[in-house]
Amino acid sequence: MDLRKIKTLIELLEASDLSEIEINEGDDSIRLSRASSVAAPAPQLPLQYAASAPVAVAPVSVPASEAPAPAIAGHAVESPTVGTFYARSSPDADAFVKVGDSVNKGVTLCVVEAMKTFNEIQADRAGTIVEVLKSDGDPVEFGEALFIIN
Amino acid sequence: MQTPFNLPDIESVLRGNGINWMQRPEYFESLSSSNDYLMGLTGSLHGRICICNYQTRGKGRLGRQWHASPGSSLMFSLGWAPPGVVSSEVSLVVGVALVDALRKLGVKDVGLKWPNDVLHKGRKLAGVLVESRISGKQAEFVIGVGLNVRHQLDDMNAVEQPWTDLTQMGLAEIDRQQVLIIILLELAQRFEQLNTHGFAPAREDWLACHAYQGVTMKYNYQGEARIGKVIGLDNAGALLFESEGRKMAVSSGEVSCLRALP
Repeated sequence: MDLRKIKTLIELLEASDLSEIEINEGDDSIRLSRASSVAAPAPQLPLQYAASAPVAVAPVSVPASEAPAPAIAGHAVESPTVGTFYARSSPDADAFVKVGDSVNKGVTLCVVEAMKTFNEIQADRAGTIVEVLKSDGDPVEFGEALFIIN
Repeated sequence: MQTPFNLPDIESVLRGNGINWMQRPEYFESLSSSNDYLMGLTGSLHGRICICNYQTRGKGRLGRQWHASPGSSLMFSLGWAPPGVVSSEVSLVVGVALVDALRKLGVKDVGLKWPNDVLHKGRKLAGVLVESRISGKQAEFVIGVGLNVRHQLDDMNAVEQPWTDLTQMGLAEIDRQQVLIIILLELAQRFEQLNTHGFAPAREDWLACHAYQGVTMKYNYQGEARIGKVIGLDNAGALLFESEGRKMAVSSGEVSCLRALP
C-alpha cells in the first residue's frame, strides 16, 4: 500500500466521524484509529469495511486532488463518481477511444456505471488521448483519473 | 392522429404548478427507446420530455429488454441538468419520487429495491434507467421511467421476474396522462429538494420504503458473487451489506434476491 493511499485514508478518517478505519487489500492491511485527547464520545458503530476492492470501501468522497497523479503529463479526465468503468457501449462494441485518437470536446470517452446510472464521460477539452488508465469492469473512485488528454 | 396524451394540457398543468423548466412533452407512437431519443439530441436536454407508446428497444439495465406492448405501459424520459454537482444519487431520488407518486394515486404497499426498482409486494411495478452525459463538472441526466399499467399476459411470459401492473391494483381505468403528470410533479419536487438540501432527506425516505432491509441478498462484485445481509444505505446512496462481521458498501453492479420475498 503506497504512502499516498495511507495519506488519503488519514484524511478520510479526519474528515469523517469514524473512530477507526481498517482496510484489507490483498495481503496489505492497515488500521487507523483516531486518538482523542478529550473524553471519547459514545462509541460509533465501528465501521470495518472489507476492502477487497477500493471502490467499494469509500463511503466518503475522495477529493479530486487526492487522486493518484497521472504518470504522463497532460489533462486528466476524472471520474465524477464511484462506480464501474466501461470502455465500450456494449461487450462486443469497439472502445469509444484508444491511445492516439484525436478527440473533440464533447466526445464520449467511456461510461462509468453507478447505482444503475450510466454516465457517459465526455472529453471536456479537445486533444489527443495519450493514456487510458482503466479497463472494462475496473472499479473507479470519485476524482480518479481515467484518461490523459494532451 | 389523436394521441393518448394531450401535450398542451400537460404543459399547462406543469406551469400551473410553478414548474417552468419542463417543456411541453413530445409524443412518439414508436421509438427505439425514449432514453435513446433524448440522449441522441444535441443541445440542452434540460426539461425535455419524451413520451413513447411503444419501444422497439426498450432498455433495462445491462441491456435487458423492457417488455411492453403499445399502450400497456407509461414510458417516458425526462432530461435534467442540475445546477450544482449531482452524482448518481439521482438514481435513488427518482425511485423515491415514483413511490411518492404511486401513493398519491392510492397505491399502497409500494417498496423499493436498490437502487430504484419499484415493487408492489415483491413484484416489479416500475423500472428506471438513468443515463447521463458528463463533461467536467457539468452533468445532464436522462431519466427513463417504465411503469406497468395494463399488461397482456402474452407480453409478460417472457419476463423472468415477478411483475405486476396498476390494473391489478384496481386502477384499470387510470388515465396515463394523469399518472404522468403526478410523476413529473413529484420528480420536480424531489429534484428541487436535492438541489436545496442535498441527498439526506431523500435518503431517509428511500430507507423508509426499502423492501429488502435486513434481507440476505446476492451481489456481484467485480465478477465475483457474494452474499450478505442488507443493512442500509451510505450517505452517497451505496447499498450497505454486512457479511461475516464486516460492512461493505456496494455502489455499482447487480443486486438480487436469493429467494422471493414472502
